[in-house]
Amino acid sequence: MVLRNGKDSPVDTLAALGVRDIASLNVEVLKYSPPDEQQNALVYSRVNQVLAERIRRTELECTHITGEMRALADPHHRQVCRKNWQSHKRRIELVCYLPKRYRGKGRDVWRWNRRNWQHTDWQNQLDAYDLLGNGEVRLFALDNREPIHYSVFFDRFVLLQSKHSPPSHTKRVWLLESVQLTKILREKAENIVSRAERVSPRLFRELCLSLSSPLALDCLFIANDKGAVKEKWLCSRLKRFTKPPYNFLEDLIAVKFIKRSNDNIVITEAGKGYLNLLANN
Amino acid sequence: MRTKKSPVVLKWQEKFRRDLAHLHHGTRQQLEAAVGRKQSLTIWLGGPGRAHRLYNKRVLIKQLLEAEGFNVIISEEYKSKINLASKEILEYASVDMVIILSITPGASGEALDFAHVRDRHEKLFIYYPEEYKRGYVYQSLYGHHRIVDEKRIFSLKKFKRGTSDLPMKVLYDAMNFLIWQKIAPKLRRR
Repeated sequence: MVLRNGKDSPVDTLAALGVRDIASLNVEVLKYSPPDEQQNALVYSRVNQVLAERIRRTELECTHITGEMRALADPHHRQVCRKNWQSHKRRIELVCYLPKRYRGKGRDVWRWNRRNWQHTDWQNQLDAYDLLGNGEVRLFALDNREPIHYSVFFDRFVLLQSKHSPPSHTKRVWLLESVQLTKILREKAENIVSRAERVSPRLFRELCLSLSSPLALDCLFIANDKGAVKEKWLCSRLKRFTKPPYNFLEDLIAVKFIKRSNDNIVITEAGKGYLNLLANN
Repeated sequence: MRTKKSPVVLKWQEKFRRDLAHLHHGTRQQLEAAVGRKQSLTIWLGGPGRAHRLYNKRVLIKQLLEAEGFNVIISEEYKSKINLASKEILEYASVDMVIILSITPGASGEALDFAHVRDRHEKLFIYYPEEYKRGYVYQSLYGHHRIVDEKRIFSLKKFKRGTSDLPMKVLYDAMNFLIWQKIAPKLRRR
């Protein structure tokens, strides 16, 4: 299919990525979405379908160049990543914009993600962190946001997004098929990966372990029983088991399973939801 | 290879049981629910080698973990024709949790070697003496690789005296690992 210029065409966005002579690349538009979140979701769903079908036969080589790593907020895409690892021991690479001050601890990344993953609940976010903590996705961080976001899959598929800026995230999205275009964009993606900083899976692993540690659970159960519990009393109880600082308390607060209210620790609805999840078989 | 339980290990187990009794019954239930999974978790325990005077303490920690139901491997107990470093890399790939007591130069070397490969970070747990925090190895593991967490810093002086601080940290971490393994699949069920 010959691509033409026009508001629905990816030509301008590809040109902004430095792709020249687009007409010769034999690009086919498999699916398109105008700037509408629900329609965008249909394109992502089609992408995940294509990936899931192909992963049955062959390993997925995939690099995402993203803004706020929202590909991981999609549970279907996380399933694809897991399947790729389980079947082929192959990791997906994802580059995101993550300011340095948020790279110190898992709870810092959590706070950053909360600003940009408005439609994602704590359960989905924690599942994404489990995926990252297992190292099944390699995460890379940039100091600045890439202007154009795209993903390359296998040797022939590109998911392209028109330029957009948070907080709106409204954009045009195309699923494209072209071996030549995929090759060009994969090289560009590899350059971006090479100048990004690898984020260790440990950040996410430690947060998951912190939230599930016996002492964190103990604090949640006690706060759930009592409604509100004096923080001083809780800390004096914890001294039996370990010395301060009690970083798991800060982690519970960051993910909003508990909150500070005057001198008290109070469990939140999310915290109660977490305890309910533990109780289910 | 399982050895006879030492009085020190029995003392540590009693401490663990006393601590458990003080936890909320909901927490105890979560620990009990994780108990059934212990045999499915294999831990590789690195640390001071046979020639070092603290090797026996490493073996005691192994005994504590085994007494609580975990499978534990100490590499020196298995002979191989290949060199030690290559052998350990292979063992790393086959276990669930890698614990290193970074007390000696050899163990610190292992920790640094493993820390260099970020794809292996998810199962690596390094315990580091507070007495050595100013040294190169700690600065590299903590500042550069970001693989050591403050909660895994311990007093080497107290460890030499046989206190339960480090063994309890290791045991709690192993239990924590199991609890998370039970929780993680539930996040995907909707």
